[in-house]
Amino acid sequence: MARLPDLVAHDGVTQYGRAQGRVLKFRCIPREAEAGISLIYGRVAIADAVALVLPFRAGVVRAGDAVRYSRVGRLRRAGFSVHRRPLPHFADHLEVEFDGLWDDEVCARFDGCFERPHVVEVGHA
Amino acid sequence: MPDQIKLQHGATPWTPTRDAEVLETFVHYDFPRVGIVRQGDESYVFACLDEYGTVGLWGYAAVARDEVVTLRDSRDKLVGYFAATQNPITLALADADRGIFHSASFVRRAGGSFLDAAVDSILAALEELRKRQELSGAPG
Repeated sequence: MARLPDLVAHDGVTQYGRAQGRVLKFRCIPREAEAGISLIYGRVAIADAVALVLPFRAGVVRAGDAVRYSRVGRLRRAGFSVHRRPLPHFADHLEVEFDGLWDDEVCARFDGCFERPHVVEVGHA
Repeated sequence: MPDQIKLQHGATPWTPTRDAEVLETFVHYDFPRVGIVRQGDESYVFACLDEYGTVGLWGYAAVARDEVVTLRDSRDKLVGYFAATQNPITLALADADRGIFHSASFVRRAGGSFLDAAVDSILAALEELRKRQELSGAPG
């Protein structure tokens, strides 16, 4: 895999999430045994995020699919580290890590780094 | 024909039994979503095919070692694997709290498509879940 350029502060990042019922869910705290939270390099559209995260559903966008955007620099200023973790079929995979206890306060700080989400509404899938 | 993968209820979908080992991850997003898992002497493609609320639909099928390179190099071959393979396919439903909580295996019917068999299998699984009210309150 070719070496990718280092991340810089103004690089955009995307987080894929989904509505669960009426609540829009984006992961803001890793689960046990997870090293960090995954993001996508760049500002990508909802359909492109679905294709990367769920490649077997590529081309099918559903009500509730959502993305939100931030920048590498904003996450770093909030105390997070952002690294490239490229994979054979997901070269633009990033991972966000936090050196310390990732508690509810850190979760809120992570959420605060993102712009207002974009979501596919019912009837617009 | 290779053995079907064994799944333990409560296990994480990418390591579906205690002795299973992830050999390669092709797609990771918060957790491994597509890759190769070894169980005993067999290797299997595992893939999160879709998600419905908190529930993920996972697929498994045995894969020959020399095919793994092809799947690593070709996204189209990877995404088309379940449609192309003649090996038995196992489907499972899982969520983060319960791990794998339902599974169904099937062999391709003569002349039938993967999609037909998958839809039948999942409809049966969902009907069973509905009866047990396991999805009550969970968004679809």
